[in-house]
Amino acid sequence: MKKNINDLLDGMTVEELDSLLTAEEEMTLPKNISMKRMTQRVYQSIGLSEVVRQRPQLHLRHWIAIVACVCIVLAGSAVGIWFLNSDETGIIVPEETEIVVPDVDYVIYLSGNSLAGTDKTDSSVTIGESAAAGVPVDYFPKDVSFYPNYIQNSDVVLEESPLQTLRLDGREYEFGKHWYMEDTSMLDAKSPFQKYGKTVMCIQSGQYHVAYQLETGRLIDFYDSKLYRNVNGEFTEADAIAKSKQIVKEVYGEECLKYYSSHPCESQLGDDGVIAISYIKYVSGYPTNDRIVLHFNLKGELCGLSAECYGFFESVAEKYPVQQFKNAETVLNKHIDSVAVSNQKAKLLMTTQGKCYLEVRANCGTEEKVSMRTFYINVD
Amino acid sequence: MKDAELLELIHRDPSTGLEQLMRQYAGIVYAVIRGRIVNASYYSTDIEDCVADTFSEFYQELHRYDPSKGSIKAYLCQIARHNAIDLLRKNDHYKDQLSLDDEDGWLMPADRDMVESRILEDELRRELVAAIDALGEPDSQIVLRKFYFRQSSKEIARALKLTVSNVDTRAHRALIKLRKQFGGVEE
Repeated sequence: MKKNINDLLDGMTVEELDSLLTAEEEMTLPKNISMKRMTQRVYQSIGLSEVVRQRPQLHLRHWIAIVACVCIVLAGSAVGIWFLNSDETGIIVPEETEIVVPDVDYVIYLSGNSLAGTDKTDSSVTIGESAAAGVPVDYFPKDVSFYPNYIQNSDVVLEESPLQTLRLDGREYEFGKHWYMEDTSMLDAKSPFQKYGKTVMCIQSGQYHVAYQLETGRLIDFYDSKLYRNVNGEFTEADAIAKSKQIVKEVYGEECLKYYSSHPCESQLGDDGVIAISYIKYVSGYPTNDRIVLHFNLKGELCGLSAECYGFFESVAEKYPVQQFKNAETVLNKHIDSVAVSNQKAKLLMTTQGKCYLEVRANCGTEEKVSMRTFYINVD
Repeated sequence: MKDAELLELIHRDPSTGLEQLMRQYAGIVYAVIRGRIVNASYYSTDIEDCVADTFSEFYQELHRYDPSKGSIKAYLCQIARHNAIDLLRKNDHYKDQLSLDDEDGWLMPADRDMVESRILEDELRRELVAAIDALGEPDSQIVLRKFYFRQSSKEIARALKLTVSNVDTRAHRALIKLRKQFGGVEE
Protein backbone atom coordinates (compact mmCIF):
# COMPACT_ATOMS: atom_id res chain seq x y z
CA MET A 1 0.00 0.00 0.00
CA LYS A 2 1.34 3.32 -1.01
CA LYS A 3 0.89 6.35 1.13
CA ASN A 4 0.77 9.80 -0.34
CA ILE A 5 2.92 12.46 1.25
CA ASN A 6 0.05 14.88 0.76
CA ASP A 7 -2.21 12.67 2.83
CA LEU A 8 0.39 12.22 5.50
CA LEU A 9 0.96 15.94 5.75
CA ASP A 10 -2.75 16.53 5.73
CA GLY A 11 -2.98 14.48 8.88
CA MET A 12 -0.54 16.69 10.73
CA THR A 13 -1.56 17.84 14.14
CA VAL A 14 -1.43 21.51 14.98
CA GLU A 15 1.82 20.96 16.85
CA GLU A 16 3.41 19.16 13.92
CA LEU A 17 2.26 21.75 11.45
CA ASP A 18 3.54 24.45 13.71
CA SER A 19 6.96 22.88 13.76
CA LEU A 20 7.18 23.30 10.00
CA LEU A 21 5.59 26.68 9.70
CA THR A 22 7.78 29.69 9.84
CA ALA A 23 7.08 33.36 10.08
CA GLU A 24 7.69 33.62 6.37
CA GLU A 25 4.47 32.01 5.23
CA GLU A 26 2.87 35.34 4.68
CA MET A 27 0.65 34.60 1.74
CA THR A 28 -1.36 37.19 -0.04
CA LEU A 29 -4.87 36.93 -1.35
CA PRO A 30 -5.40 37.07 -5.08
CA LYS A 31 -7.14 40.14 -6.37
CA ASN A 32 -10.33 38.33 -7.22
CA ILE A 33 -10.90 37.45 -3.57
CA SER A 34 -12.81 40.07 -1.64
CA MET A 35 -11.63 40.60 1.90
CA LYS A 36 -14.59 42.86 2.56
CA ARG A 37 -17.07 40.22 1.58
CA MET A 38 -15.34 37.62 3.69
CA THR A 39 -15.29 39.93 6.68
CA GLN A 40 -18.99 40.61 6.31
CA ARG A 41 -19.68 36.91 6.15
CA VAL A 42 -17.66 36.33 9.30
CA TYR A 43 -19.53 39.05 11.15
CA GLN A 44 -22.81 37.72 9.93
CA SER A 45 -22.11 34.16 10.93
CA ILE A 46 -20.90 34.99 14.42
CA GLY A 47 -23.64 37.54 14.96
CA LEU A 48 -21.41 40.52 15.55
CA SER A 49 -23.66 42.81 13.63
CA GLU A 50 -26.75 40.85 14.48
CA VAL A 51 -27.79 43.06 17.33
CA VAL A 52 -27.73 46.14 15.20
CA ARG A 53 -30.10 44.59 12.74
CA GLN A 54 -32.37 43.27 15.44
CA ARG A 55 -34.73 46.16 15.55
CA PRO A 56 -37.99 44.85 16.82
CA GLN A 57 -40.30 44.39 13.94
CA LEU A 58 -44.00 44.62 13.99
CA HIS A 59 -45.53 41.44 12.80
CA LEU A 60 -48.99 41.18 11.41
CA ARG A 61 -50.43 40.06 14.72
CA HIS A 62 -48.91 43.10 16.37
CA TRP A 63 -50.48 45.42 13.85
CA ILE A 64 -53.82 43.75 14.27
CA ALA A 65 -53.50 44.06 18.02
CA ILE A 66 -52.40 47.68 17.76
CA VAL A 67 -55.32 48.62 15.57
CA ALA A 68 -57.65 46.81 17.91
CA CYS A 69 -56.09 48.52 20.88
CA VAL A 70 -56.39 51.96 19.36
CA CYS A 71 -60.08 51.32 18.88
CA ILE A 72 -60.37 50.12 22.44
CA VAL A 73 -58.50 53.14 23.71
CA LEU A 74 -60.68 55.50 21.76
CA ALA A 75 -63.63 53.99 23.50
CA GLY A 76 -61.82 53.61 26.78
CA SER A 77 -60.52 57.14 26.79
CA ALA A 78 -64.01 58.48 26.75
CA VAL A 79 -64.71 56.47 29.86
CA GLY A 80 -61.37 57.52 31.26
CA ILE A 81 -62.04 61.17 30.72
CA TRP A 82 -65.33 60.81 32.45
CA PHE A 83 -63.65 58.89 35.23
CA LEU A 84 -60.85 61.38 35.68
CA ASN A 85 -63.28 64.27 35.72
CA SER A 86 -65.49 62.64 38.25
CA ASP A 87 -65.70 64.41 41.55
CA GLU A 88 -65.88 61.04 43.27
CA THR A 89 -62.23 60.42 42.57
CA GLY A 90 -61.13 63.57 44.28
CA ILE A 91 -58.85 64.22 41.38
CA ILE A 92 -58.61 67.78 40.25
CA VAL A 93 -58.63 67.93 36.51
CA PRO A 94 -58.41 71.26 34.75
CA GLU A 95 -61.35 71.70 32.48
CA GLU A 96 -59.27 72.27 29.43
CA THR A 97 -57.30 69.13 30.00
CA GLU A 98 -58.16 66.02 28.16
CA ILE A 99 -56.34 62.86 27.48
CA VAL A 100 -55.28 62.66 23.92
CA VAL A 101 -54.84 59.18 22.67
CA PRO A 102 -51.82 59.37 20.49
CA ASP A 103 -50.59 57.15 17.76
CA VAL A 104 -49.00 54.06 19.12
CA ASP A 105 -45.53 55.29 19.68
CA TYR A 106 -44.39 52.97 22.34
CA VAL A 107 -44.36 49.27 21.90
CA ILE A 108 -43.03 46.86 24.40
CA TYR A 109 -42.17 43.37 23.45
CA LEU A 110 -42.03 40.69 26.01
CA SER A 111 -40.89 37.44 24.59
CA GLY A 112 -38.77 34.64 25.82
CA ASN A 113 -36.75 36.00 28.63
CA SER A 114 -36.02 39.35 27.14
CA LEU A 115 -37.60 42.71 27.22
CA ALA A 116 -37.12 45.15 24.43
CA GLY A 117 -38.81 48.28 23.41
CA THR A 118 -38.93 51.01 20.89
CA ASP A 119 -39.84 54.56 21.52
CA LYS A 120 -39.79 57.22 18.90
CA THR A 121 -40.05 60.04 21.35
CA ASP A 122 -37.26 59.26 23.74
CA SER A 123 -34.55 56.73 24.23
CA SER A 124 -35.34 55.42 27.65
CA VAL A 125 -35.76 51.90 26.57
CA THR A 126 -34.26 49.00 28.35
CA ILE A 127 -33.64 45.47 27.48
CA GLY A 128 -33.23 42.77 29.98
CA GLU A 129 -32.51 39.14 30.37
CA SER A 130 -34.42 39.02 33.52
CA ALA A 131 -37.52 38.15 35.29
CA ALA A 132 -39.33 40.49 32.95
CA ALA A 133 -41.11 37.74 31.12
CA GLY A 134 -42.14 35.68 34.05
CA VAL A 135 -38.96 33.80 34.77
CA PRO A 136 -38.63 33.23 38.49
CA VAL A 137 -36.31 35.68 40.14
CA ASP A 138 -34.66 32.83 41.98
CA TYR A 139 -33.57 31.47 38.67
CA PHE A 140 -31.06 34.24 38.40
CA PRO A 141 -27.95 33.72 40.47
CA LYS A 142 -27.09 36.39 42.93
CA ASP A 143 -23.40 35.88 42.42
CA VAL A 144 -22.31 38.67 40.15
CA SER A 145 -19.72 36.45 38.54
CA PHE A 146 -22.61 34.86 36.69
CA TYR A 147 -22.91 38.02 34.71
CA PRO A 148 -19.56 38.31 33.05
CA ASN A 149 -20.81 40.51 30.29
CA TYR A 150 -21.85 43.08 32.75
CA ILE A 151 -19.51 42.71 35.62
CA GLN A 152 -16.19 41.23 34.81
CA ASN A 153 -15.55 42.97 31.57
CA SER A 154 -15.35 46.61 32.31
CA ASP A 155 -13.55 47.33 29.12
CA VAL A 156 -16.15 49.16 27.11
CA VAL A 157 -15.67 50.55 23.69
CA LEU A 158 -18.01 53.27 22.63
CA GLU A 159 -17.80 53.83 18.94
CA GLU A 160 -18.05 57.30 17.60
CA SER A 161 -20.65 56.33 15.10
CA PRO A 162 -24.20 57.56 14.70
CA LEU A 163 -25.47 54.35 16.19
CA GLN A 164 -23.16 54.65 19.15
CA THR A 165 -22.77 50.97 19.37
CA LEU A 166 -21.53 49.70 22.64
CA ARG A 167 -19.49 46.57 22.69
CA LEU A 168 -19.21 44.47 25.76
CA ASP A 169 -17.48 41.16 25.74
CA GLY A 170 -18.28 40.39 22.15
CA ARG A 171 -21.83 41.59 22.19
CA GLU A 172 -23.11 44.78 20.73
CA TYR A 173 -25.57 47.10 22.33
CA GLU A 174 -27.24 49.91 20.54
CA PHE A 175 -27.86 53.27 22.05
CA GLY A 176 -31.48 53.91 22.77
CA LYS A 177 -32.30 50.30 22.36
CA HIS A 178 -30.09 48.47 24.75
CA TRP A 179 -28.61 51.19 26.78
CA TYR A 180 -29.22 54.74 27.70
CA MET A 181 -27.80 57.68 29.49
CA GLU A 182 -28.60 58.65 32.99
CA ASP A 183 -27.88 61.97 34.54
CA THR A 184 -26.12 62.01 37.85
CA SER A 185 -28.48 64.57 39.27
CA MET A 186 -31.15 61.89 39.39
CA LEU A 187 -29.06 59.52 41.39
CA ASP A 188 -28.29 58.84 44.97
CA ALA A 189 -25.90 61.34 46.44
CA LYS A 190 -24.09 58.55 48.17
CA SER A 191 -23.60 56.56 45.01
CA PRO A 192 -20.32 56.38 43.21
CA PHE A 193 -21.87 58.21 40.31
CA GLN A 194 -21.17 61.46 42.01
CA LYS A 195 -17.49 60.81 41.88
CA TYR A 196 -17.43 60.55 38.16
CA GLY A 197 -18.56 62.45 35.15
CA LYS A 198 -21.91 63.93 34.49
CA THR A 199 -23.28 61.10 32.53
CA VAL A 200 -23.02 57.42 32.85
CA MET A 201 -24.51 54.83 30.67
CA CYS A 202 -26.73 52.34 32.30
CA ILE A 203 -27.75 48.92 31.32
CA GLN A 204 -30.87 47.80 33.01
CA SER A 205 -31.24 44.09 33.21
CA GLY A 206 -34.23 43.28 35.29
CA GLN A 207 -33.21 43.49 38.86
CA TYR A 208 -29.67 44.33 37.90
CA HIS A 209 -28.55 47.76 37.04
CA VAL A 210 -25.12 48.35 35.65
CA ALA A 211 -23.47 51.62 34.95
CA TYR A 212 -20.29 52.50 33.22
CA GLN A 213 -18.45 55.76 33.25
CA LEU A 214 -18.98 57.10 29.80
CA GLU A 215 -15.62 58.72 29.35
CA THR A 216 -13.54 55.70 30.21
CA GLY A 217 -15.90 52.79 29.95
CA ARG A 218 -15.00 51.83 33.47
CA LEU A 219 -17.56 49.90 35.46
CA ILE A 220 -18.55 52.20 38.26
CA ASP A 221 -21.71 50.81 39.65
CA PHE A 222 -23.71 47.71 39.85
CA TYR A 223 -26.62 46.98 42.00
CA ASP A 224 -29.12 44.34 42.52
CA SER A 225 -32.43 46.01 43.05
CA LYS A 226 -33.27 43.39 45.61
CA LEU A 227 -30.41 44.25 47.85
CA TYR A 228 -31.07 46.25 50.93
CA ARG A 229 -29.43 49.47 51.71
CA ASN A 230 -29.70 50.67 55.23
CA VAL A 231 -31.12 54.05 55.86
CA ASN A 232 -31.13 56.15 58.95
CA GLY A 233 -33.91 58.44 59.86
CA GLU A 234 -37.05 58.88 61.82
CA PHE A 235 -38.89 56.61 59.52
CA THR A 236 -37.13 53.29 59.27
CA GLU A 237 -37.21 50.64 56.63
CA ALA A 238 -39.31 48.45 58.86
CA ASP A 239 -41.79 51.26 59.24
CA ALA A 240 -41.87 51.80 55.51
CA ILE A 241 -42.41 48.14 54.81
CA ALA A 242 -45.20 47.86 57.33
CA LYS A 243 -46.85 50.92 55.93
CA SER A 244 -46.39 49.70 52.38
CA LYS A 245 -48.14 46.47 53.21
CA GLN A 246 -50.99 48.35 54.73
CA ILE A 247 -51.35 50.69 51.78
CA VAL A 248 -51.01 47.97 49.20
CA LYS A 249 -53.72 46.01 50.92
CA GLU A 250 -55.86 49.08 51.06
CA VAL A 251 -55.32 49.75 47.36
CA TYR A 252 -55.60 46.26 46.03
CA GLY A 253 -57.92 44.76 48.55
CA GLU A 254 -55.57 41.96 49.43
CA GLU A 255 -52.13 41.32 50.76
CA CYS A 256 -49.91 41.17 47.75
CA LEU A 257 -46.68 42.70 48.87
CA LYS A 258 -44.48 39.74 48.17
CA TYR A 259 -41.20 41.45 47.87
CA TYR A 260 -39.80 44.76 48.72
CA SER A 261 -36.61 46.63 48.75
CA SER A 262 -35.81 50.00 50.01
CA HIS A 263 -33.16 52.48 49.47
CA PRO A 264 -32.68 56.12 50.15
CA CYS A 265 -33.11 58.11 47.05
CA GLU A 266 -33.15 61.64 45.92
CA SER A 267 -36.61 61.85 44.55
CA GLN A 268 -38.24 64.41 42.39
CA LEU A 269 -39.99 65.66 45.46
CA GLY A 270 -36.86 67.09 46.92
CA ASP A 271 -33.61 66.36 48.62
CA ASP A 272 -35.04 65.79 52.02
CA GLY A 273 -34.39 62.07 52.11
CA VAL A 274 -37.10 59.91 50.73
CA ILE A 275 -37.41 56.24 51.31
CA ALA A 276 -38.75 54.40 48.34
CA ILE A 277 -40.33 51.05 48.86
CA SER A 278 -40.88 48.88 45.89
CA TYR A 279 -42.35 45.51 45.46
CA ILE A 280 -42.88 43.02 42.73
CA LYS A 281 -46.23 41.56 42.09
CA TYR A 282 -46.64 37.93 41.37
CA VAL A 283 -48.71 36.18 38.80
CA SER A 284 -49.27 32.51 39.37
CA GLY A 285 -46.32 32.45 41.64
CA TYR A 286 -43.98 34.04 39.18
CA PRO A 287 -42.74 37.56 39.43
CA THR A 288 -43.55 39.76 36.51
CA ASN A 289 -41.01 42.34 37.49
CA ASP A 290 -43.84 44.78 37.75
CA ARG A 291 -43.04 47.15 40.47
CA ILE A 292 -44.92 49.72 42.37
CA VAL A 293 -42.83 52.23 44.17
CA LEU A 294 -44.13 53.91 47.22
CA HIS A 295 -42.22 56.94 48.31
CA PHE A 296 -42.17 57.93 51.91
CA ASN A 297 -40.31 60.76 53.45
CA LEU A 298 -38.47 60.31 56.69
CA LYS A 299 -41.53 61.40 58.60
CA GLY A 300 -43.43 58.44 57.27
CA GLU A 301 -45.62 60.40 54.94
CA LEU A 302 -46.50 58.83 51.67
CA CYS A 303 -45.36 61.28 49.09
CA GLY A 304 -45.50 59.24 45.95
CA LEU A 305 -46.88 56.16 44.38
CA SER A 306 -45.84 55.19 40.95
CA ALA A 307 -45.63 52.23 38.71
CA GLU A 308 -42.44 51.01 37.19
CA CYS A 309 -41.98 48.45 34.51
CA TYR A 310 -44.79 47.12 32.48
CA GLY A 311 -47.70 44.88 32.92
CA PHE A 312 -48.51 46.91 35.97
CA PHE A 313 -52.08 45.82 36.20
CA GLU A 314 -51.77 42.32 34.93
CA SER A 315 -52.20 40.42 38.13
CA VAL A 316 -54.33 41.65 40.92
CA ALA A 317 -55.64 44.46 38.82
CA GLU A 318 -57.40 42.04 36.56
CA LYS A 319 -59.81 41.48 39.39
CA TYR A 320 -60.21 45.18 39.99
CA PRO A 321 -59.58 46.83 36.66
CA VAL A 322 -61.15 50.13 37.51
CA GLN A 323 -61.63 50.07 41.21
CA GLN A 324 -58.02 49.43 42.06
CA PHE A 325 -56.89 52.47 40.14
CA LYS A 326 -59.56 54.49 41.79
CA ASN A 327 -58.48 53.19 45.17
CA ALA A 328 -54.90 53.99 44.41
CA GLU A 329 -55.75 57.50 43.48
CA THR A 330 -57.88 57.88 46.56
CA VAL A 331 -55.13 56.66 48.82
CA LEU A 332 -52.62 58.83 47.10
CA ASN A 333 -54.91 61.75 47.36
CA LYS A 334 -55.06 61.40 51.10
CA HIS A 335 -51.41 62.19 51.28
CA ILE A 336 -50.92 64.51 48.40
CA ASP A 337 -52.55 67.85 48.05
CA SER A 338 -53.40 67.52 44.42
CA VAL A 339 -53.15 65.14 41.59
CA ALA A 340 -53.81 66.57 38.24
CA VAL A 341 -53.49 65.40 34.74
CA SER A 342 -51.51 68.36 33.62
CA ASN A 343 -50.56 67.55 30.13
CA GLN A 344 -52.11 66.02 27.14
CA LYS A 345 -49.64 63.29 26.68
CA ALA A 346 -50.70 59.76 26.94
CA LYS A 347 -49.16 56.70 25.50
CA LEU A 348 -50.51 53.40 24.60
CA LEU A 349 -48.40 50.53 25.68
CA MET A 350 -48.87 47.08 24.40
CA THR A 351 -47.23 43.83 25.27
CA THR A 352 -46.94 40.87 22.99
CA GLN A 353 -49.50 39.23 25.16
CA GLY A 354 -51.89 41.83 23.84
CA LYS A 355 -52.23 43.69 27.10
CA CYS A 356 -52.75 47.36 26.55
CA TYR A 357 -52.13 50.18 28.94
CA LEU A 358 -52.62 53.84 28.67
CA GLU A 359 -49.73 55.68 30.17
CA VAL A 360 -50.67 59.02 31.61
CA ARG A 361 -48.16 61.36 33.07
CA ALA A 362 -49.54 63.54 35.76
CA ASN A 363 -48.26 66.15 38.14
CA CYS A 364 -48.52 65.21 41.76
CA GLY A 365 -47.96 67.89 44.29
CA THR A 366 -47.54 68.18 47.98
CA GLU A 367 -47.50 71.71 49.31
CA GLU A 368 -45.22 73.57 46.95
CA LYS A 369 -43.39 70.60 45.69
CA VAL A 370 -44.65 69.13 42.50
CA SER A 371 -43.44 66.11 40.70
CA MET A 372 -44.42 64.30 37.60
CA ARG A 373 -45.87 60.87 38.10
CA THR A 374 -46.77 58.24 35.62
CA PHE A 375 -49.88 56.18 35.83
CA TYR A 376 -50.82 53.21 33.79
CA ILE A 377 -54.42 52.54 33.02
CA ASN A 378 -55.48 49.14 31.90
CA VAL A 379 -57.55 49.73 28.81
CA ASP A 380 -58.40 46.11 28.10
CA MET B 1 0.82 41.12 15.60
CA LYS B 2 1.79 38.27 17.88
CA ASP B 3 -0.68 35.58 18.83
CA ALA B 4 -1.06 36.71 22.42
CA GLU B 5 -1.77 40.26 21.36
CA LEU B 6 -4.15 39.06 18.71
CA LEU B 7 -6.09 36.94 21.17
CA GLU B 8 -6.29 39.78 23.62
CA LEU B 9 -7.60 42.05 20.90
CA ILE B 10 -10.19 39.51 19.80
CA HIS B 11 -11.45 39.17 23.34
CA ARG B 12 -11.48 42.88 23.93
CA ASP B 13 -12.87 44.01 20.62
CA PRO B 14 -14.03 41.08 18.51
CA SER B 15 -14.64 42.98 15.30
CA THR B 16 -11.27 44.73 15.30
CA GLY B 17 -9.56 41.56 16.42
CA LEU B 18 -11.14 39.51 13.70
CA GLU B 19 -10.25 42.08 11.10
CA GLN B 20 -6.64 41.93 12.20
CA LEU B 21 -6.74 38.15 12.30
CA MET B 22 -8.03 38.03 8.75
CA ARG B 23 -5.54 40.58 7.51
CA GLN B 24 -2.79 38.45 8.95
CA TYR B 25 -3.91 34.98 8.01
CA ALA B 26 -6.47 35.17 5.22
CA GLY B 27 -3.73 34.54 2.71
CA ILE B 28 -2.50 31.34 4.27
CA VAL B 29 -6.03 30.12 4.92
CA TYR B 30 -6.86 30.81 1.32
CA ALA B 31 -3.77 28.87 0.23
CA VAL B 32 -4.76 25.82 2.26
CA ILE B 33 -8.25 25.81 0.82
CA ARG B 34 -7.33 26.64 -2.73
CA GLY B 35 -4.63 23.98 -2.67
CA ARG B 36 -7.17 21.30 -1.94
CA ILE B 37 -9.66 22.25 -4.58
CA VAL B 38 -7.15 23.34 -7.16
CA ASN B 39 -8.35 20.93 -9.82
CA ALA B 40 -11.99 21.65 -9.36
CA SER B 41 -13.91 24.52 -10.80
CA TYR B 42 -15.23 26.77 -8.10
CA TYR B 43 -16.41 30.30 -8.05
CA SER B 44 -14.22 32.64 -6.12
CA THR B 45 -17.20 33.27 -3.84
CA ASP B 46 -17.18 29.59 -2.84
CA ILE B 47 -13.62 29.95 -1.70
CA GLU B 48 -14.33 33.26 -0.03
CA ASP B 49 -17.12 31.63 1.92
CA CYS B 50 -14.87 28.78 2.89
CA VAL B 51 -12.16 31.17 4.06
CA ALA B 52 -14.69 33.25 5.98
CA ASP B 53 -16.17 30.15 7.58
CA THR B 54 -12.72 29.20 8.77
CA PHE B 55 -12.40 32.43 10.69
CA SER B 56 -15.94 32.20 12.00
CA GLU B 57 -15.25 28.71 13.24
CA PHE B 58 -12.06 29.82 14.87
CA TYR B 59 -13.88 32.59 16.70
CA GLN B 60 -16.77 30.40 17.74
CA GLU B 61 -14.45 27.69 19.00
CA LEU B 62 -11.98 30.08 20.50
CA HIS B 63 -12.40 28.55 23.92
CA ARG B 64 -10.95 25.34 22.55
CA TYR B 65 -7.84 26.94 21.23
CA ASP B 66 -4.84 26.16 23.38
CA PRO B 67 -1.93 28.47 22.55
CA SER B 68 0.49 26.04 24.17
CA LYS B 69 -0.28 23.47 21.51
CA GLY B 70 0.35 25.56 18.48
CA SER B 71 0.10 28.89 16.81
CA ILE B 72 -3.07 30.50 15.60
CA LYS B 73 -1.73 30.14 12.10
CA ALA B 74 -1.40 26.36 12.40
CA TYR B 75 -4.78 26.10 14.06
CA LEU B 76 -6.40 28.09 11.28
CA CYS B 77 -4.73 25.90 8.69
CA GLN B 78 -6.23 22.83 10.31
CA ILE B 79 -9.70 24.34 10.29
CA ALA B 80 -9.24 25.49 6.72
CA ARG B 81 -8.22 22.01 5.60
CA HIS B 82 -11.34 20.48 7.13
CA ASN B 83 -13.50 23.15 5.57
CA ALA B 84 -11.95 22.59 2.17
CA ILE B 85 -12.66 18.88 2.42
CA ASP B 86 -16.22 19.64 3.45
CA LEU B 87 -16.57 21.91 0.44
CA LEU B 88 -15.33 19.17 -1.83
CA ARG B 89 -17.69 16.67 -0.29
CA LYS B 90 -20.60 18.99 -0.73
CA ASN B 91 -19.79 19.39 -4.38
CA ASP B 92 -19.07 15.73 -4.95
CA HIS B 93 -15.55 16.43 -6.07
CA TYR B 94 -14.06 14.77 -3.07
CA LYS B 95 -13.13 11.48 -4.63
CA ASP B 96 -11.56 13.08 -7.65
CA GLN B 97 -9.56 15.47 -5.59
CA LEU B 98 -8.19 12.87 -3.26
CA SER B 99 -7.23 10.37 -5.91
CA LEU B 100 -3.77 9.08 -5.32
CA ASP B 101 -2.46 9.67 -8.78
CA ASP B 102 0.22 12.15 -8.07
CA GLU B 103 3.34 10.15 -8.68
CA ASP B 104 5.55 12.90 -7.38
CA GLY B 105 4.07 12.47 -3.99
CA TRP B 106 4.45 8.79 -3.35
CA LEU B 107 6.20 7.41 -0.39
CA MET B 108 6.60 3.67 -0.27
CA PRO B 109 6.71 2.48 3.31
CA ALA B 110 8.91 -0.58 3.92
CA ASP B 111 6.23 -2.36 5.82
CA ARG B 112 2.77 -2.10 4.27
CA ASP B 113 1.06 -3.24 7.43
CA MET B 114 2.62 -0.39 9.25
CA VAL B 115 0.60 2.27 7.47
CA GLU B 116 -2.59 0.32 7.83
CA SER B 117 -2.43 0.91 11.49
CA ARG B 118 -3.46 4.37 12.54
CA ILE B 119 -1.00 4.43 15.35
CA LEU B 120 1.84 3.49 13.09
CA GLU B 121 0.66 5.99 10.54
CA ASP B 122 0.84 8.68 13.17
CA GLU B 123 4.34 7.56 13.92
CA LEU B 124 5.24 7.66 10.26
CA ARG B 125 3.83 11.13 9.95
CA ARG B 126 5.77 12.36 12.94
CA GLU B 127 8.93 10.98 11.44
CA LEU B 128 8.09 12.58 8.14
CA VAL B 129 7.54 15.94 9.76
CA ALA B 130 10.83 15.64 11.57
CA ALA B 131 12.55 14.61 8.36
CA ILE B 132 11.11 17.54 6.45
CA ASP B 133 12.20 19.85 9.22
CA ALA B 134 15.66 18.36 9.06
CA LEU B 135 15.90 19.20 5.38
CA GLY B 136 16.52 22.74 6.44
CA GLU B 137 15.62 25.93 4.65
CA PRO B 138 14.56 26.42 1.98
CA ASP B 139 13.94 22.75 1.17
CA SER B 140 11.63 22.17 4.12
CA GLN B 141 9.61 25.18 3.04
CA ILE B 142 9.49 23.98 -0.53
CA VAL B 143 8.20 20.56 0.55
CA LEU B 144 5.66 22.09 2.91
CA ARG B 145 4.41 24.49 0.31
CA LYS B 146 4.34 21.87 -2.41
CA PHE B 147 2.71 19.04 -0.52
CA TYR B 148 0.73 20.75 2.20
CA PHE B 149 -0.23 24.09 0.71
CA ARG B 150 -0.03 22.52 -2.74
CA GLN B 151 1.35 25.60 -4.32
CA SER B 152 2.76 25.48 -7.79
CA SER B 153 6.47 25.74 -8.35
CA LYS B 154 5.89 29.18 -9.74
CA GLU B 155 4.11 30.33 -6.61
CA ILE B 156 6.78 28.82 -4.41
CA ALA B 157 9.54 30.39 -6.45
CA ARG B 158 7.91 33.79 -6.14
CA ALA B 159 7.41 33.44 -2.41
CA LEU B 160 10.91 32.16 -1.67
CA LYS B 161 12.59 34.30 -4.29
CA LEU B 162 14.01 31.35 -6.17
CA THR B 163 13.79 30.37 -9.80
CA VAL B 164 11.16 27.89 -10.83
CA SER B 165 13.76 25.39 -11.98
CA ASN B 166 15.58 25.73 -8.68
CA VAL B 167 12.39 24.98 -6.82
CA ASP B 168 11.72 21.92 -8.95
CA THR B 169 15.26 20.63 -8.53
CA ARG B 170 15.24 21.14 -4.78
CA ALA B 171 11.83 19.54 -4.45
CA HIS B 172 12.92 16.51 -6.46
CA ARG B 173 16.07 16.04 -4.41
CA ALA B 174 14.21 16.49 -1.15
CA LEU B 175 11.69 13.89 -2.16
CA ILE B 176 14.40 11.40 -3.06
CA LYS B 177 16.00 12.00 0.30
CA LEU B 178 12.74 11.39 2.09
CA ARG B 179 12.06 8.24 0.10
CA LYS B 180 15.40 6.83 1.02
CA GLN B 181 14.90 7.71 4.63
CA PHE B 182 11.54 5.99 4.78
CA GLY B 183 12.61 2.93 2.85
CA GLY B 184 10.53 3.77 -0.16
CA VAL B 185 11.27 2.53 -3.62
CA GLU B 186 13.16 4.93 -5.76
CA GLU B 187 11.92 5.61 -9.20
